[in-house]
Amino acid sequence: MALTCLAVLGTPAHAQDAEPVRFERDGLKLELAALSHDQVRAFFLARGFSQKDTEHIAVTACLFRSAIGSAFAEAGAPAVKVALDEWQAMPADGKPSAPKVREYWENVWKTREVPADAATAFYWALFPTEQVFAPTDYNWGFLTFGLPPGTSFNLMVAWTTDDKAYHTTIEGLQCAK
Amino acid sequence: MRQVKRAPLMSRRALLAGAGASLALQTGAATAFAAGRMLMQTVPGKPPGPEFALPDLDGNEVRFSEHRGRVVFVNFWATWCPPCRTEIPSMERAWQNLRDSGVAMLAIHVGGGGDRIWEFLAEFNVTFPVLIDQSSAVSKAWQTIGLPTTYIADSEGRKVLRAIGGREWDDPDLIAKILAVRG
Repeated sequence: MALTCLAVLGTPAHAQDAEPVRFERDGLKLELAALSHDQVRAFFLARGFSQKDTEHIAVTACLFRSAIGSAFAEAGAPAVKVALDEWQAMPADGKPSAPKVREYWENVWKTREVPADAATAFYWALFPTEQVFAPTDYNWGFLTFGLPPGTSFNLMVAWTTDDKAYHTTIEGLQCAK
Repeated sequence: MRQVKRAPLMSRRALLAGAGASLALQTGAATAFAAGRMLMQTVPGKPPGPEFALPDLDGNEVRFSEHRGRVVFVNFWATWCPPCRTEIPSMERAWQNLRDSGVAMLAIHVGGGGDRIWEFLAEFNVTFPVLIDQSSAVSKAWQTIGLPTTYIADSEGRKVLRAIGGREWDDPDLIAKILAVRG
């Protein structure tokens, strides 16, 4: 397995400055930025979530926007596979955990009895749990890490290109405060 | 074959004029991904596109099978999806190129959207048919995983090409590839 550590230390991705982290390596192209609580509230209130459920997202989700896909632009280039359950959010003083994916949130919304339209929008607004990208394919979506507001963490990003496994670590991410 | 009804966009546009800025989250959407060369992939095995019956914006039911005999551009999108918003104007330009060439275009909005959809279409002067997949069951049946995703179905309703993520649909290479599906 190829192991790398991403050199973004000089530009930590804090929600406050919302400067995206970008990298392109071994077939993967990625862009990632934390969203502020106000951005989260505005988006999900407009999708039909109640104030209470919107607050639940803002306080528990630690939400980042992302665009992730294939860095290849030539037809016939290898497929790139991303599976979020292979990623690890690693807070300095906490247990590593995988991102909270669509299936996790579907159960949350069933328990909280949120309107169907809101739950549907949430599902499609999240980055897919697992996807294979052909050349020039990519997806947009939110990532949720389930960490408390303000938590600083490193993120281990894993993917496969042409069935070969790669990973890298993005250091210095921070959930919105 | 029944003609797909076109929604009376202009009248509603007038009603919605000045209705306010888009409610979509402005997140500086992935500009790096939209740049550069754009491809479509061949769908392995050319599986049939699942039949659907979805309402258009006036509530008229539109079936996928009504378009048998034509190449069909099927796009899954949502008003709040940044790359969807980015690609819609190029879809309209492509539609102006393709509409008289035996190609149908169906933009399927995933989830409910209400007047936000009208507002969005007015903003971008969209004239191609838009359908609503409120529960997203059709989107899932088509094996759509993220938004936007576009399929090109051949005249027999088989999915032959796919693009995951936004494209500039009036790109001459993409237009040529769509037209080539006519055979």
